[in-house]
Amino acid sequence: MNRFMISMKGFIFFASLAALATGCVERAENHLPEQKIVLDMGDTSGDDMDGEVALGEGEGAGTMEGTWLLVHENSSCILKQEQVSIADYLIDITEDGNTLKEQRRICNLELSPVLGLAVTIPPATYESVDFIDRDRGFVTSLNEGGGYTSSTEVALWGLELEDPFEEDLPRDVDDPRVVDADGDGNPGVTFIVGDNTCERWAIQRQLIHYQGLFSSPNRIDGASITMTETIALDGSAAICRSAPPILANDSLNNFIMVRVDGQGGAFNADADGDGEVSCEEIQGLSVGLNPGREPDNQNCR
Amino acid sequence: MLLCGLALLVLSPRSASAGPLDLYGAGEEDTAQGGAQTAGASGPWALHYNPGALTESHVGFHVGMMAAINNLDILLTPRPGGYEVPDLGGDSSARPTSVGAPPQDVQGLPPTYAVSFGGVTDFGLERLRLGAIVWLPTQSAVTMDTHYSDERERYSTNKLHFELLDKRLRRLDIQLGGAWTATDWLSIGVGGLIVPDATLTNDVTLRDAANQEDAEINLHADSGAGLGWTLGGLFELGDHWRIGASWRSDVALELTGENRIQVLGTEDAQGNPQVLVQQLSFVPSYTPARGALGVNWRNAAFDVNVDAVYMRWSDYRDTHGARAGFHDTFNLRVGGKWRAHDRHTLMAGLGFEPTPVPDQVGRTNYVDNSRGVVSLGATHRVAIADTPLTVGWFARAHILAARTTRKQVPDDPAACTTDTTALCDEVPDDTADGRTGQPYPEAQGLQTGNPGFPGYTSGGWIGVVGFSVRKERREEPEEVNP
Repeated sequence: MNRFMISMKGFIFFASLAALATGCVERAENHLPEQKIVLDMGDTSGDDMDGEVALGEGEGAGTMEGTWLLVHENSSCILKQEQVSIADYLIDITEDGNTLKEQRRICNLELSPVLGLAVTIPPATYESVDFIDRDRGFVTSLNEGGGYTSSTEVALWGLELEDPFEEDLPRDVDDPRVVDADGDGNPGVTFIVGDNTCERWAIQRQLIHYQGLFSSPNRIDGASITMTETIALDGSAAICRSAPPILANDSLNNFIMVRVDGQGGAFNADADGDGEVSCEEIQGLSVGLNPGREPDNQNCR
Repeated sequence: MLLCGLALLVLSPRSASAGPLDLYGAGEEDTAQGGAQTAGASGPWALHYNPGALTESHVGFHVGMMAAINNLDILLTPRPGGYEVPDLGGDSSARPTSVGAPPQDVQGLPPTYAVSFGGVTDFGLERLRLGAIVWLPTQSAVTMDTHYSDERERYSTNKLHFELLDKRLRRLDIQLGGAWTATDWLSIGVGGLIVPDATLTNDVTLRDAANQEDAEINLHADSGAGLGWTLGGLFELGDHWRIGASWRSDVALELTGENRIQVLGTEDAQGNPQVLVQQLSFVPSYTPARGALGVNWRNAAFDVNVDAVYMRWSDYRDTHGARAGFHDTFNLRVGGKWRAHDRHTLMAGLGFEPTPVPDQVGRTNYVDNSRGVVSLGATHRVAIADTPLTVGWFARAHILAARTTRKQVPDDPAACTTDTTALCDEVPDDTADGRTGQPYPEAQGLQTGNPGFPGYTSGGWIGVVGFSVRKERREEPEEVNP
């Protein structure tokens, strides 16, 4: 019995030491300095869009002819998720009597993620978009409150159609109407899904019409209606081989159009002075016009 | 701190945690002797240490219970400012630091309870012994729990985890084997270790991708067993000395399979359904191969056991099946038994195991500590209703040496990819505003939500207590100290 008691004392000793060890974990001090972020990255370009003369005055006033920046916010519904896109266009306008001939270039296109998957449009893709000149826009007055309606924007992505409006889109990758517009060796044009998760090789037809009012002599604010058809022909992985239907959600669309060629007292984005405004020269300007917004899936319920 | 250091000095020996029996012990004899049993094991638990020693066992059966208090802590070092992950909207997929709960300390882990069974038979052959042991945790027979060792864990628990302890060891352990007395001086044995595994295939169909709570799911599951093997030999060198040697293969509790996901309405241009396949490959519990060499010295009153154990941790795979870069280790265990009385035996043991985990200065946060073990126990022969039984009790403590990890920030942190081993940047410096093309100032330098950044301290102790009852057929009375 005595020996049993001795063993119990040993147990108590061991338990005491174990309890002592409970206090041995102490939080360490941080050994790293704070990281200082330099917020001034230099060129933020384009917050100041004031012209050199008063709005609606100076050379070029009284006509829309020239180069305009159009920033289009488009809402659509994909699998009941809202996708918000922001597209920056440069539009070269020539007046033909009372009508406007508009020649468009896409300079940037940003799409919000759907179901956590972002879709990125490579520059080679939107540079390859073929805009069909179909009709004309017109403007009622260049003064504040004047009306503007655009020509119909008909954009074919990776497609060559005899009838860009009526013809059904091809669904076969070998259909001769499917062209490798961006020249990357894959059919149609390429969209990058996710963080380089995979490539979607697709064709797309987009019809857009803009209508708005002059809010100042060199700025138009308005709304748009859009119709987009996309067919995924193939992809580098299963998730990219399909393109869910894109449903228009036009009530939330809006656009802003501002003159950027320095005419009529407008801001002049022609930084290199070569007489033409390029996509590089308007990079970043659109953020000041439309900072964008987060998608809200309630908008697609 | 001085007292803590003193305590660790006193308690510096300890045991291994390759599998649940290595940490918690198996029977009263091995648990109380610090696991130093390669040459001195007896009873069915010899299967775990050296099946060759099974020939020393009496025919009979054992039943036991144990409880373990896991008083283990991981305390996070306060984060310095300026390393937060910013909210850059769609331009960065990294979750902003401002979203969700911050990383949390780990202060104490749930206790572990288990029952154990063992038996030995000889089928009437004097030189043969066959045995089986089962160690069954009572909270859950098999816990399959995985975690990421790096910043990806912030999307799950946002905590650090003891890599080689806790849920990894909460699994059923079954061992079977046999031994043969080949000569008067040599016994050899072989055993098998069985752990469960499973294969899962889930067919998931989403009618509405925007309502992913509403899914049609079919489950196809097959459960199987992962198998390991053990070889062992016991050499008798005269009346007082024995040498034991054993080798146990690695064994893994694995979960494999795939999720096959379809979203209705996403068929391709030809109408074919697009099936997204997510591969599943988990290793919730990996037990490395080990080799052990042990020496036993005994006389009428005492047994002394010394074991050297080699653990091949370099093969270790973490719960996601990734090689963890651990080092192999050598452990030392010492145990003793004193037959103090014809009915009472006292036992004690010590052990030490250096951690196989290198300093976690980079991306990963494998948390582990060097440990010391001290153990005590006793057996008492009693008779209940004229049935002779041996009742045993044991207590074991693992003392974890406190360990502080300090992360090193690379001069030019690389973006986090599957190949990145250094502390990595969740928002690479070239992350730019998609509309302006301008890089974000908030993306410059290192942005990380790694829960182990900038460091952490781990330590604590594990206390194990238990008892067992065994009924054995003894042809000779146990030797008694005069």
